[in-house]
Amino acid sequence: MEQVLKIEDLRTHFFTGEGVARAVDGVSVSVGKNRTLGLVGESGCGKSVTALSILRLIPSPPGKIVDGKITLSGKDILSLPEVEMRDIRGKLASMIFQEPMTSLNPVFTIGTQIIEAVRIHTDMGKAEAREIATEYLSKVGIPAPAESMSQYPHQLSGGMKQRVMIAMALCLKPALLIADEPTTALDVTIQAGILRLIKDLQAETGTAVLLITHDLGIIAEMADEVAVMYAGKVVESGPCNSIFSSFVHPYTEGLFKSLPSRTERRRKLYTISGTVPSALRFPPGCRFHTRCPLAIEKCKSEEPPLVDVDSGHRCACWVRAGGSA
Amino acid sequence: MMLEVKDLKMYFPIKRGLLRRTAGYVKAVDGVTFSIGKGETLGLVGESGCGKTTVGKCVVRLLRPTSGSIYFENNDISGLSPKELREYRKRMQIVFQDPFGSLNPRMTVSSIVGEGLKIMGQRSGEKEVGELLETVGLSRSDGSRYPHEFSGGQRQRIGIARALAVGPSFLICDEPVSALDVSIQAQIINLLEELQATLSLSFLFIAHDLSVVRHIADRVVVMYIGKVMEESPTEELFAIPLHPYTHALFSSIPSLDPAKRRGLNPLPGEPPSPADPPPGCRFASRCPKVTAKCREGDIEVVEVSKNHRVRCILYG
Amino acid sequence: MAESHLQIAIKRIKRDRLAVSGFCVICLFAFIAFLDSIPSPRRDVGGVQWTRTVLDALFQKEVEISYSPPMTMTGILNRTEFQLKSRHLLGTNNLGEDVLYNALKGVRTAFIIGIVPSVIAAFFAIILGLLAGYYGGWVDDIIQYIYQVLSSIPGILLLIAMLMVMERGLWQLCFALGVTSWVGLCRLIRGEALKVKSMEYIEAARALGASDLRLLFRHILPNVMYLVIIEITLDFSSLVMSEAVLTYIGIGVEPGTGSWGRMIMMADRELANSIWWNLTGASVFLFALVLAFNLFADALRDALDPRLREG
Repeated sequence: MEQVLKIEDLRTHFFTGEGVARAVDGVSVSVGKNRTLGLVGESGCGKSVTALSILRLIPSPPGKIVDGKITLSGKDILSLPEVEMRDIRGKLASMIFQEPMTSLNPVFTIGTQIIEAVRIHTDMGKAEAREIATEYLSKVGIPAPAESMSQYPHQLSGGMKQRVMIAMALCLKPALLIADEPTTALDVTIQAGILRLIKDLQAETGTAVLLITHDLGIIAEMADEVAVMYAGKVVESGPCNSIFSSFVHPYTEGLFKSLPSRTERRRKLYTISGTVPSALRFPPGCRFHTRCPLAIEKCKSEEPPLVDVDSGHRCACWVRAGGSA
Repeated sequence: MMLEVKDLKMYFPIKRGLLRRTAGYVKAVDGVTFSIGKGETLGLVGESGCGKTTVGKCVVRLLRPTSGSIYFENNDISGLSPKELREYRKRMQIVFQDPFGSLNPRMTVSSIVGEGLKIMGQRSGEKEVGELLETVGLSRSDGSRYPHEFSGGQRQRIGIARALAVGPSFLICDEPVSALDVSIQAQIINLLEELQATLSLSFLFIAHDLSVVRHIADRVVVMYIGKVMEESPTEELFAIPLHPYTHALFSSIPSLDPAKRRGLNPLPGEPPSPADPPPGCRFASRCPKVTAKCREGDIEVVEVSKNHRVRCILYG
Repeated sequence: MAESHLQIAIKRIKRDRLAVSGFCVICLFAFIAFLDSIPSPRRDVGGVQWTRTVLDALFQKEVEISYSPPMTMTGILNRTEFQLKSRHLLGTNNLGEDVLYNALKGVRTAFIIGIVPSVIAAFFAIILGLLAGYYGGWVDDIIQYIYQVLSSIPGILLLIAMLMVMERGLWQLCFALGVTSWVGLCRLIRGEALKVKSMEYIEAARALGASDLRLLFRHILPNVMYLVIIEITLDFSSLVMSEAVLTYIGIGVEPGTGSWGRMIMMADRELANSIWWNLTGASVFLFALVLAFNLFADALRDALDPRLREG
């Protein structure tokens, strides 16, 4: 199956006064049509930077995509001029963010914003664009869509705003939807609605979805494939079932074991010792070695490559995948 | 009984117009009753707008309740003046949610942790502060540093040290781990449980993450738009949720097993505003089991079994 | 190691080369002002004690008859060993006074005028701004009423009125300027206090039993102080330039005090007679100091702004 999105060895670094932060340091993932890739990791692992790199939205000083290749529907993203990139954003690939509060412009009605998004990318007239906007507002479950067009963002709840964002993102039928923690700021009952909506719309339009989150539960519900990131690299990837039933990498294991729901009540929770290293000072060798209970000598000096441990399931670990020295 | 809250109400006036006339009230907490025993952890759950944080603030008297009583160690503190409250501040403290906003960026960690002691007129020197820092898993030398030099999890530890400084027997934990990564959450939850055991603390644990509450709480109270919907011992609640809202809440949690995808059956509609709740049951507009009777008059709490109470017509 | 906000700010400013050069220039000027503040009893010819400060001691006081262009040799007196200049590097003015000397005398005045009124204004702004922002309600209403009325009166009229009541003088001018210019900073502090008072660390302190006074001065004030520092450094330039204007219209410092304003005052008549050096001397000094402060103040503003902090 042809991949809608293919990222090969992406490296995005930030050049700050205090050194180089290698936020994304050799990431390769791909998403196919009608498939959802879950990119999971904790804060500081580089998942959001990866997403922003796809759309080339990295603030340019101090950030820079220093290496790698991104192919979106056959187009080589990193070699395109900015003019063409602007055409792609919103049309070929669109993104929704975590904070619906700040993603919508408070001084314009939601109708205006969606219509603007449509008209920037097509040569539709106002009336036609309005029809599309109303159609998608209805699809995302906004009650009384025609009247709601003239509402302002502050009149809507968090969940409603996020639905408007989804409408804006999908109304031009992009090939790829990037959702960066779309439900983190929402209540759990509202979250269920948003996730369901994304799933339904994906089934209808065949959009590929790159879902970024730190919540393993959301991944379980939504993702077909999973990539676990740590310190700027992918440490484990594979089909969702495989990762959940037989995780390999010690970090993935640590994440699962720390979950309260997987621990008996009132028993001490498993913790991964130490903290995530700063992107300015990653440890040499395997970046997880400073916190890993299984670390051996080799881990401290050589970076493990991603190797196959099962069909489609890959892991980067000297001890668990690739034979220890 | 460490804490007994009876019919607690917190109404915030809505002021409109030039002369700031009161145009109505936001009924953030509308008649909440529960109690916490010594050494017990009560989980208070609900979604945004349910009033759980407001309950927490009323209990620690950061807010003065509109009506109702709060019996702390058998003394009603709901109407006390700030001066009279001083004594109680030593015995109950609060840990906040936001590791970034809950520490004064211009103060050193020692000043932050030792402030309570200073206010109470006790010694807050290096020795005392150093001991507190070590209790929460930090080192003595961290005292001379500033909050921005620490990670979210470490800041929460500082906040916990600050709360423990004055020697309370009761802690209100207002979403203490919601803003933290999963692996750090585990560290802080372990810390809180350890401290509870060694210092004989009782907790009012406010959270929206049900898996955390399930792990740490002995009993759980479920709130919705200012009212208690269900109260029960933890395992009983999670095994058999009685109230339709509790049931819906639990069904919305994504399962951790891709093979057992729940299919996400979301609740229809939106929660009503606490400023203008419709008559009858607050959940009526979204309840899958709603009947006509649900909209007439207040629904009373029913005791279904020992320690398990529900506010729903289905069990009346 | 402990990194206080001050240390972070200093680090950031160091990265801006222009700001650092501005700071060096400021230090140079400050040194001159310092020299002008230390009394030095040097007697001169005739046993008359005329030197007042160390700066004066470096110059030959004897004056020429009238204007003389730059680089003129002294005509009147024999050179003594302590003479810094036997040439009038920038010429002399209508009274024969050395222009460079006058310009240097103006430095101390500029520093005092540039900083003291801001400090006085900050005093009022902090107290009233904190009270208004923290207490709100009728306290806020009253304070807002006060400053809205105050800011509706044209500043210059207020100044003139105040200075007519007080005697003319440098310190009186500072006081008048300070008392009439606190409104802007007060508004800023009030806004920031409003924001800070709803932060969780304030609630935490309250839960520990902190009194209002403690909250105001131990918690809120340190967090709004950056606004005060920024305002003081930014206002420096406009205050120095306003002294020049005020002296020009006649309500500035009294004669005898160094003042660039006075040097500029005569410019219109002098220029008509092709006498350019008096105006140039004053303007160059004024421009250099103001530019240095502007470069430094902008960098300082960025360095102290908590919103620009990188985590």
